[in-house]
Amino acid sequence: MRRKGKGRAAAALLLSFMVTLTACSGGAENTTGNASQTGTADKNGIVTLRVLVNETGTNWNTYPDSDIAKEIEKKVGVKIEYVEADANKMNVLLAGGDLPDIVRADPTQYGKQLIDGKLIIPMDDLLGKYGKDIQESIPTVVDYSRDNWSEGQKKLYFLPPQIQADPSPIYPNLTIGPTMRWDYYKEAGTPPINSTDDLLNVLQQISAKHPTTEEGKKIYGVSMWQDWGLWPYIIPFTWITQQSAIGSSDLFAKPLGEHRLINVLTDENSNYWVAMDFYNKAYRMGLLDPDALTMKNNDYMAKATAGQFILGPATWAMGDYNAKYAKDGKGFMVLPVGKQAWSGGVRPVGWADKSYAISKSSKYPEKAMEFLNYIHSYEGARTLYSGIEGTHWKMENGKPQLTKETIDMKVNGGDAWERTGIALDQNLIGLGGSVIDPKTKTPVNLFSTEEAMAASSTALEKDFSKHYESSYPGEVVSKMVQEGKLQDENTPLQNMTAEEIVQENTVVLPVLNDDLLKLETQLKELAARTAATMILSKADEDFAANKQDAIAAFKAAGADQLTQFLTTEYSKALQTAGVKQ
Amino acid sequence: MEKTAGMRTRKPINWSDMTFSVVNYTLLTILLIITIYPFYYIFIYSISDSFQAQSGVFLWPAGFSLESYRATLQLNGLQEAAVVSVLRTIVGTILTVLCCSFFAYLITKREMPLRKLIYRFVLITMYFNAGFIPWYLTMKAYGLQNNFLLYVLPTALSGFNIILIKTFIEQLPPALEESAKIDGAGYFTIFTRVIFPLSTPIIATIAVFAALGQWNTWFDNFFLVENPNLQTLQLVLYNFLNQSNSISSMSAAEMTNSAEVRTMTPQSIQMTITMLVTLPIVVVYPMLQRFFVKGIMMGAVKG
Repeated sequence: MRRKGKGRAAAALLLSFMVTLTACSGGAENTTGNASQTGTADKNGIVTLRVLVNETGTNWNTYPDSDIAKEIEKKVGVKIEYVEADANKMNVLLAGGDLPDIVRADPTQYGKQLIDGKLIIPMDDLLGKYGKDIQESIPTVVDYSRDNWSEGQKKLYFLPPQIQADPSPIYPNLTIGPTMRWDYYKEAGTPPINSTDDLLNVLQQISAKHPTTEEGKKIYGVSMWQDWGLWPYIIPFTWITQQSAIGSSDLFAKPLGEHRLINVLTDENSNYWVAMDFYNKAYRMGLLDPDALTMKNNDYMAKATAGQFILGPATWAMGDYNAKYAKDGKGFMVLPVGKQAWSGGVRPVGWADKSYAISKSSKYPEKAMEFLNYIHSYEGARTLYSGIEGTHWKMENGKPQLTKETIDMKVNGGDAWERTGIALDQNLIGLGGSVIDPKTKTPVNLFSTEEAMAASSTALEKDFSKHYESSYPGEVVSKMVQEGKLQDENTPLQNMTAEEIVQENTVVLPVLNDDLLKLETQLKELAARTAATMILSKADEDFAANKQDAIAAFKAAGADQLTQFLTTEYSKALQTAGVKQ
Repeated sequence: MEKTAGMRTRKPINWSDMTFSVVNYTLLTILLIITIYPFYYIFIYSISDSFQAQSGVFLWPAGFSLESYRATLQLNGLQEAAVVSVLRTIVGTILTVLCCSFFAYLITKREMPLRKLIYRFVLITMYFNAGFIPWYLTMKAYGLQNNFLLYVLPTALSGFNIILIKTFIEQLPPALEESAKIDGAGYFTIFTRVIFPLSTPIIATIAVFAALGQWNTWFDNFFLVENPNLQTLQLVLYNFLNQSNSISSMSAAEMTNSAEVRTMTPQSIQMTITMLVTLPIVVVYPMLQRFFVKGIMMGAVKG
């Protein structure tokens, strides 16, 4: 009898669980109305718009009550909620046909599916009623989108964020380039560096004076990590070779201002070979960390944090050394040396792969349009970048100025800063930070004004800037570029018309097919192994001989096939974009 | 010398037995270390200081810091998600066990109509999987989007479990059923009073697998459930890990110029999450282990 009672009790319990839970989720369904994926309105008329983003790990949803979120509610009457999706989920949602109110995706990748599948709506009618600011601030992009991202329908479906048609007049601080311990470089008398040999000599000088850290760990001139593929050989030398990597293949680079692609493995003066030469000489001079050819990024960062390197490839690659010591004036800065600074460039069509579209199943397309209008407006962009007028910045003498508290909050970072929601997601801001607001002639991102850059500099950055007679590190580069001592990505744009700039920046780089991708992978593996042989060469003659052998090996492995394909496709792409060759 | 009951006579040393013991113990100890060490490593990594741990952890934690535990346990929505996970584990397991066992019992009855056909349908699902998109569309069509039932209904029947239970039930002596029938018991009564209690070992095995599956699953949540009240623990932790990974791989363009101090590395967060997620299982498993052993033993004896 007891067992029967137990069984009945268990069954009753289970049933009540299920009923309660179904009721719970049923009840919750009403408040968030999500039998579908789209948003709902609450009793105050505030509409929650759900935005499908094609990435995971965003933190917009972590701060639903940030200052910025509240301001968006006030100004536009919407709350924004992200729906994160990786590639799998994206495909599934597209197949299901029931998308959230706004879709953020790459029009070249998903455009056909979204438009042909009638999953998104054209914004042309809504633009007239709710899109005044868009028409005012980014008319060229609207036309470009109609021509290129509408499957031939000549309608407006996609609006990208981070649009910046003109070069930024304010220079941000450099983050990639020859990144050296500033205190050591200054101590050595900041000797000029015009080549990789000069760089090695400086490293040798500094290394002789500083063989170990205060804790007794050995200091190495330079090192690298091996788990990002060929990165250490193809990225850190742009400052002297003036060749930039291209997105579609690690094995090719584009010289500044030229319309050709070079194969880094077979071209004798490419980034790769300059890197081989540099690291080989460093090895022979005893400056290269013995773990450089096997270390992983984690270990590199740990050593960098411990102060064991003199030179690195970027400020963000030096672990947490700067975070700890920048206030004492010690740390790593990118030196303004060589031929090119990694800065400048424009984005006439923004970050196209994060373009926004309004979904067909949205119940509030007008509100969605209002929101997109807001983020592409000067006022909206300024709020999203710099905070709320009156709270985070104030108008003084007709010019908007950040308050000291806001700048300090940003410098200190942490939770207090993130709770404001300022610049929490750069992808959500329609205009680039350096776009100039025509009313006050200041950039929409007040943090990139000269005063703000100077005020938020660390002691290290101030020391660095003072040495070069500037008020913040970006200004150092800006002056040198103006004086012609350094080039940057804006240099070739100076003599181009606005139309030509758009053409330059919208060349669709060729993509490798599956067979060529396999070939590329094989070549990359060969290149990594060859790098080890090259870097460990014992003398100049060995190096030269090894280099010729290596290039022959790359060619034998099919490097020329890749070169042939990419250069042909690149020519075609240039023609399609209308670039004169 | 008196020989008491408790005293044993001296046995001569058997060298071959001794060698066997030594080799046996050595091999098993090595196996033990190989099995336990990864878990131990995760544990000491999770309690180490994040940055010191990057240089390598071996036998002892590098520094000591509970920062990653603090950050993970203070995550928004973690407690609610934990409750949802526990609920789904309990309800899902009970449902799976009841449905699979009853179904398996019915399949063993020859008088059930379309028995073979239904059984084969279930078997086919073990081998073929339509993929993500049909699964998604089916779940949506049944109205399971943003519904707790999504967590427990689809897994209620599983071909693998059904085969296990069916095979087990078929081994039971038919006399038991027949005598119950003679006493006037119907199918349901026979199942609940006779078959189910006798199948405890296999039921327990299935319950443990089902519970583990329910505890660990996050992708149904990821694809189909947006309701913040229905998030599972695994997905909350998965999102947290993704966030820390994306912060650490921010491109130069997105980095601010201020020296943002990271207090934890994604690796230490990963280790902490692993610990938090496996700890409940590690605690519960040994308690249920005896059912496995019993089940295996019973099978062996019967065979």
